[in-house]
Formats: sequence, C-alpha cells, structure tokens
Amino acid sequence: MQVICECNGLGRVLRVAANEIRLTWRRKVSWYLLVSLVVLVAVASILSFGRHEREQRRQAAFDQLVREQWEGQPDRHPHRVAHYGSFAFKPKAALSAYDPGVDSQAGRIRYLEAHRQNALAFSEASGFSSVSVLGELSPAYVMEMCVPLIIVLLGYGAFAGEKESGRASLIRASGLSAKGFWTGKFVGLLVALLPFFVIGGLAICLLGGSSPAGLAAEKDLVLRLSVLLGGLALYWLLWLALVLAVSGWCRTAGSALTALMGIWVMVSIVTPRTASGVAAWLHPLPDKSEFAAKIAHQLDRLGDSHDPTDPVFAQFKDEVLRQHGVSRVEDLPFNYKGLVMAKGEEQSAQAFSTELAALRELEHKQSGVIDLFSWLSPPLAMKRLSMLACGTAPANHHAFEDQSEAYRYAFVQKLNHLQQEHISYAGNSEEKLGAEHWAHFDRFQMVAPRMDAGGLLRSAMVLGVWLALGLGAGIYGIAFRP
Amino acid sequence: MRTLIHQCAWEAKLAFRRSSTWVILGLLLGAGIVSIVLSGQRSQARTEEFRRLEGQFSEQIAKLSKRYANGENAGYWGYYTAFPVASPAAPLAALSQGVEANAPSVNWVRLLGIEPQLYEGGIHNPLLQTLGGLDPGFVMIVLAPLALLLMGHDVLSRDRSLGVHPLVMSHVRNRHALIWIRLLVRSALVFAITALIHLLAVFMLRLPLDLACAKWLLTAWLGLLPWVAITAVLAVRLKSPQATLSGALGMWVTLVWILPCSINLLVSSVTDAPEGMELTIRQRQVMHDGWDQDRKANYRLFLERHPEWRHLGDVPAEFSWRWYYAMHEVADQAVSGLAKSYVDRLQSRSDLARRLSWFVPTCYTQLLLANQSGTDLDSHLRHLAGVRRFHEELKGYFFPRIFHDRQLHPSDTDGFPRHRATPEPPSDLPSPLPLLLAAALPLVFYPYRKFPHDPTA
Repeated sequence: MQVICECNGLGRVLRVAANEIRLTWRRKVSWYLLVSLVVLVAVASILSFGRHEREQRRQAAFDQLVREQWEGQPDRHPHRVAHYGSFAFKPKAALSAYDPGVDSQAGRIRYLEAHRQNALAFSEASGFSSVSVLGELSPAYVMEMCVPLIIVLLGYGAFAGEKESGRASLIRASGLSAKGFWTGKFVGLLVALLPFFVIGGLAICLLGGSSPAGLAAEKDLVLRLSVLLGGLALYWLLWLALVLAVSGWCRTAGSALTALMGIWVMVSIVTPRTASGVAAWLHPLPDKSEFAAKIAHQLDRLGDSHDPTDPVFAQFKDEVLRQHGVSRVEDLPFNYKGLVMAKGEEQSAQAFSTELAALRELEHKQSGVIDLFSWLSPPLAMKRLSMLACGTAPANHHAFEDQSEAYRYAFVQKLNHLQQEHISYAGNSEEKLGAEHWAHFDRFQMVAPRMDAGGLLRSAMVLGVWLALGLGAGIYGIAFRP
Repeated sequence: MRTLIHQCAWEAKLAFRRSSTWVILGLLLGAGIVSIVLSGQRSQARTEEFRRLEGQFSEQIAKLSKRYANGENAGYWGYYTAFPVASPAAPLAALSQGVEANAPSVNWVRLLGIEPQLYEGGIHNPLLQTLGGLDPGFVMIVLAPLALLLMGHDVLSRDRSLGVHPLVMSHVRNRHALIWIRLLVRSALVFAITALIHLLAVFMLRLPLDLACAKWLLTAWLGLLPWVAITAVLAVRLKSPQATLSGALGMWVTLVWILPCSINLLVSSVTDAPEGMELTIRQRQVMHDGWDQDRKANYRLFLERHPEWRHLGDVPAEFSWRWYYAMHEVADQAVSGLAKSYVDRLQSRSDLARRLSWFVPTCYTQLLLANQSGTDLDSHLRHLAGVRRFHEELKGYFFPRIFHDRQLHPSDTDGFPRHRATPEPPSDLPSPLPLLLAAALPLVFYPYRKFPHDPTA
C-alpha cells in the first residue's frame, strides 16, 4: 500500500498492474492452466493436422483415380458417358485443420451425372460413433471455448477477491480513481495472460503455415490469418472485460466465479444449441422424400426427354423442324436425339435449380436466425468469424455445391453437343464416340470464394458491442459498487 | 431415524433459503423444458415424414399405372419404382438424438445396384448440425452434473468461509454424516429436477410410460452418481469455497468437454473409413464397364454367383432387362467386400469409442442413453442392413418376372413387395458397471479417518 501511495496517478495504475501480474504467476493454478493449454493445443493441432493431411492426400488420390478412369474410357456413346459421370471432391481449405467448421458435417464427395443433381455423400459425421454429440476437439475449440475459461479462472477474483479481503477499499482510499483501479487490473491481467494468447496465436500461425494448400496462396493465407488473429484478439479482450465487469459487480470471489461460469455455459453451450434448434423449428427444411417428390413434380411439369411421346417434347420437335424447314427429324443437319438430350438436361437442371434455390433460401433464413442469436452469444459470433476466415463457412460449402453443379452441367451439355455433331440420328443406338475425346474435358477445379466481408463485419460488430458493454459495465461497477 | 428425517428437512430448508439454489435449479429446469420443446419439434417432423411416405409411394405408382396402363415389361416397372424403406423411430428417440442427426432413417430404394443407394445423406443444414442440438439427454449428461457440482461443492467450505464451521462441527456427533446428509439432500434436489424434466418429456412428447422409460431415467441418474462422489471428495478435500468451486468446474470441464471431445478427435483421427468413397467409385466403374463388355461374358459373371438362373441360357446380344439387372448385380458383387469392410470399419470405430468411453463417465452415460433411445450407431447400421434385406426382397419379386420377360399391369402393383418395419430386437444393453466403478473410484480419495483442514482436530 505504501508503495502505491508514493506514486503519482499513472504510477499507481502501473503498480496495480504489476501486482496483478505478480500475483497471477505466483498462483500454482496459472502454471497448471498454462501447461494444460499447451498440451491441449498440441494434441488438437497435431491430430487435426494429421487428419487434414490424410484426408487431403486421400482425396487427391481418389480425384486422380477418377480422372484416370475418365480418360481411360473406351469408345463410348456420349450419353453413356454422361451417365457414367464423374465425381467432385470438396477440397480442404488451408485453415480447415484449425476450424473444420461445417466441413465435418457436410458431405465431401458428389457424384455428377446426367439429369440429376445428387446430394453430397460421405460426410465425416456419417461415420461418427455414438458418443460424438458433444463435438470434436479442434484447435478452434480450444481457442474459442477453453481460452475464455482460462481468462475466467485467472481473472474472476480481480476485484471480487480484493473486495472480499478488504484490500479494495484500502487501494481506493489511497487516492486511486475507480478508472485507474480498473485500468491497472485490466492492463495487469492482459499482460499476465499474454503467454496464453501468444501460445494460441503461434499455434494458429504454425497450422496455417504448415499447410501446403495454404502456402500455395500465401497472400490469401496471410489475410485470412490476420483476420482470424484480429478476431480472436477482440474476442479474448471481450472476455477479459466481461470477467472484470462481473468481478467488479460481485461481492465475493465465489459468486463472481459462479456467475462467470454460468455466463460461459449459457453463451458457449446453451445458446448456440438453442439457436440451432430454434432455427430448425422456425424454418424447417423439407425432408429427403418430400424434396424428391417436389423435384419429380417439377420434372413432370417440364416433360420427360426420354419419352418420345411426351407432349412437351413433341411441341419442341415441331418447333425445331419448322426452324430448319424440314419435315422429318432425320433430315436435320445434326442428330436430333442429341438436341433433345440437351434440351432435357436444360429442363431437369432448371427443375433441380428451382427446388435447390428454395432450399438454399431456407438455409439462409436459418442462418439469419443464428445471426440474431449471435448477439446473445459472442462465441457464436466468433465461430462465424473463424469459419469465414478459415474458409469452412456455409458460404464455402455452397460455393462447392454451385461450382460442382456448373461443372456437371457444362460437361453433360458438351457431351450432348458431341452427340449432335458426331453421332448420326440413324446410328444413335450403335455408334460410339472415339476415346480420344475424353482427354479434352477439363478437370473440376474449385475456386475458393473470397471472405464474406459483410459476415466478418457483423461478427466483429457483435464482438465490439460486447466489448464495449464489458468495458462500460466494468468501470461503472468499480465506481458505484464498492 | 426421526432425527435423520429432521436433519434432512433442515438441510433442505437451508438449501432453499439460498437464492443460488433457486437460480441453479431454475436454469436446469428451463434448459430441460427448452430441450423438450425442441426435441418434440424434431420428432414431430420425423413422424410427419414417415406418414407422408405412403402417399408419396402411391402417387408414384398412380403415375406409372397411367403410363403403363396396358401393361409393360417388368423391367420398366422395376426401373422406375422407388420403394421407401423407413426404420421408425424407437419410442424414446426424442429423448436423445444420437447419430440420427447425421444418419437418415429413410432410404428410397430402386431395383438397381444397392450400393450407390445406401449412402446418400439426408437434407440438412450443416451449420445447424455443426452447432449441435439440445435434447433431454444432453441436459442430463452435461448440465445436470454442473448443477450438482455447483449445489454441492460448498457443503463444507461455505461454513468455513462464514466462520461457523467450528460451531457447527461441535454440535454434531458424526461429521462425515453431516457432510453426506447435506450433499445427498442437495443432490436429491438435482435428481428431482431431472426426474421432473423426464416426466415433462414423457408428458409433452407423449412417450409410453413403461419400464424402458423408467430405465432411461435410472440410467441418467446412474450417470449422475459419479458426480456425487466427485463432489463429495472435492468438498471435503479442498478448503475454501473458491478452491472447491474451481476444482468442481475444472472436473466438469475436463470430464464433460475436454475428454469426450478429445476422444472423438482421437477416434476420428486414428481410424477412418475410406472404403465408403472407394466402393462408390469402384461400383460405378464396374457397372459402366458392363455396358462396354460383351453382354454374354458379363452375364456369365452373374451366373457364377446365381446358378439358379443357368437354365435360362445366355442373354441376347442386344439390350435386355435380364442382362441390365444382372449387370447391376455384378457391380454390387464386385464391391461387396469393400461394403462389408466399410461397415466393419464403422463398427470398429464405434467399438474403439465405446472402449475409450469406459474411462469417461460422460461418454459412457451418453452411450447408454443413445442405446436405450435407439439412436446409437448400432441402430443406424441395423437400418442399413434392413435396406439391404429389402433390396433382396425386391430382387426376389422382380427377377423371376423380368428374367422371364413378363408383363406387369397396374393391378399387379398391389403385390409389389413393401418394406414392413419389424420391431427391432433390443440390442444388448451395455453394462452399467463402468458408471458404478466411476462412482466408487473417487471415494478412494475420500478422507475417511480424519477431516482435512479441521480446526478442532
């Protein structure tokens, strides 16, 4: 106390800060927590990274196999090839080892064939065991769930403990202002906790830096890492401010810890799960059977290209004949059957797209509900930010769906075109297209979408508002709740 | 005896005098109610999906009957008809979602090769799945232990911090008994709230009030027992309320979150099941190669496994439904080994998780609850096996008709095989032994002889 009294304003603040640092690291629990964090980060990073690399290698191998199978096709009728189809593999984002995001739940492989837009299959989660409801450890989980807990455990007594022991009034009586007291504690805890933050940040950089996919797009990776680290810094500061605020409002350290733990459980565990349930309730998705029935209904409306008596296609035929001034399809300068296939593909793609767009719309509405809930839960906002930064957000998944569909549509239509040009109408059921054509088809290449700045901003806003509330409540609490 | 009842009543009164008791129990109950409402919504959606299947199937048959009003080769009927195979939810499925969140329980099956039809996922928003769900099972294994710890950790340390500890201790004959009565009374409050949640679930979700239902609650309670023991040891061993509280939270975070999540990551990292993707790719290759091969040669591959069709002789050189479906069967045969090892792999993955969960009561309770709710991986694998069985049934009906080039008429559709969900035999209940052991283990560390930090000792 003496020391504090002898200093000027800033000096006193620094004394409080220095004291906090000293006291924090004098406690054994800080060291235990530091060791636990290192172990957790190491375990999570090594296992996640290992799995990430293995998955990536396997997908590359399967992708290569599928390509070899494609190019190795014998002479085939183009429509046969369209049914043979291809597979699109969802590439792993460079930072997905840090935050797998929706990737472990969404399918990883899509069968691309004529007439249909298949759902993705073989999500990681489809192989889950029965004990997985609690989720999987990932480096993101450690940073976003465990680090806040550490902040709580090391900071809950900052003010409440001082009040309980009566030192708070002594410090205030020495002439230190409420703001100064708060600032000292804030700076002190921030510095005391730096080792934890640094370990977290380093682990993220290491994970990002050791991924070959990440290094291939270095500039993008640096941007993503900076966004992620910036977001985490904001998020951790927010928790620090929150912890100090609650500690300032509570009379005893025990009640502060109970309250903080309650807040942690509510915002980290209960709210996100409730949000998920409420979103599904407000905007239910159709089930698989209902969705298939809707597609079938759309297709009926648009006509069946394989049925020669279909009225929609009979009308189409008349139109084509009139355009070319001939009376029989045999007299057309191209294979009419190829044109019918192309027209049919256009229609079925449209049928699927209509229904899938409606589905996507529902998913967006569900995400909107989650966004609303994220105002109640900083971890939820942080989760969105980290998924966006890591390229594992729903938007990235949707991009894969869209791009693989565009690829599918392009190669099927190219085949239909080849059928029109190279297969005669009369010989349509026997003739085949030479195997040399297969190598002229492009491979599927996914272009990762840019980070959604709007989503990042919304997340940052939530975090910012909570930080401001935490800061305000903290300073107010110290000033008016002695 | 009377003093005991008197003492319990007194401790209950003391507990209810604290506002924290009301807050903790109220929040637990609130979370329970929210979980029941959300689970009800989910299971209702599923019931409706099941109810619609019959109509969707008839609609499809009506459409085909119009198209083939004058009869058509059985091959066409087999090609265009999709049959729903649905495994109805077990009665208690709403209580614990288990793997149902990821694994669809309805498959539409056509006569074509079965393998590509098995693994298509349902329609889900992966974002919602990533965030997880809230069901009564979750409340029981995650939130109830926390409530128990928060209520019970300071049975001793609070007296100490208030300075009344020596006074209280000087008034009781058996100090251990006092601590245990306190702890058990407070635990009983948490148990009572979980029972209330369970009853509400039974009432609101219209679950059958039977033995299985009671067993579910007993299992949830069994899962709480280790936590009572842990609380006791922490409460007696540690001194200040802050220490007991930090210790309790540390235990909770470790046992409820860190260890289970680590087990999941470990299991999915050290075991994986690439056979699923591989067999999908292989099946397509074999199936489509069939189009390029000599039809007779391909058909002979079919006959090797199905000699019962030898008497029909070779297939014609041009397209025939007999050849077509035989080709699909050949493709299925080609990957049957992979398909089996895929299921084995999932099973062994699940077994590994199960073995590891022996050491983590939270995981084990989850396993037991999912098992009793009929939502564990075993139930899903049984569903997949049921889909395969039904596909065999389809072949049994259609193959003789197709192979003999029979015509089918709309009137024949009544005789089409339909999947009748048979009540699944209850799978072997995993032993509750690990939970009892987990409840006994902490008691090894209980100081039986002497009270630590005892001022009067």
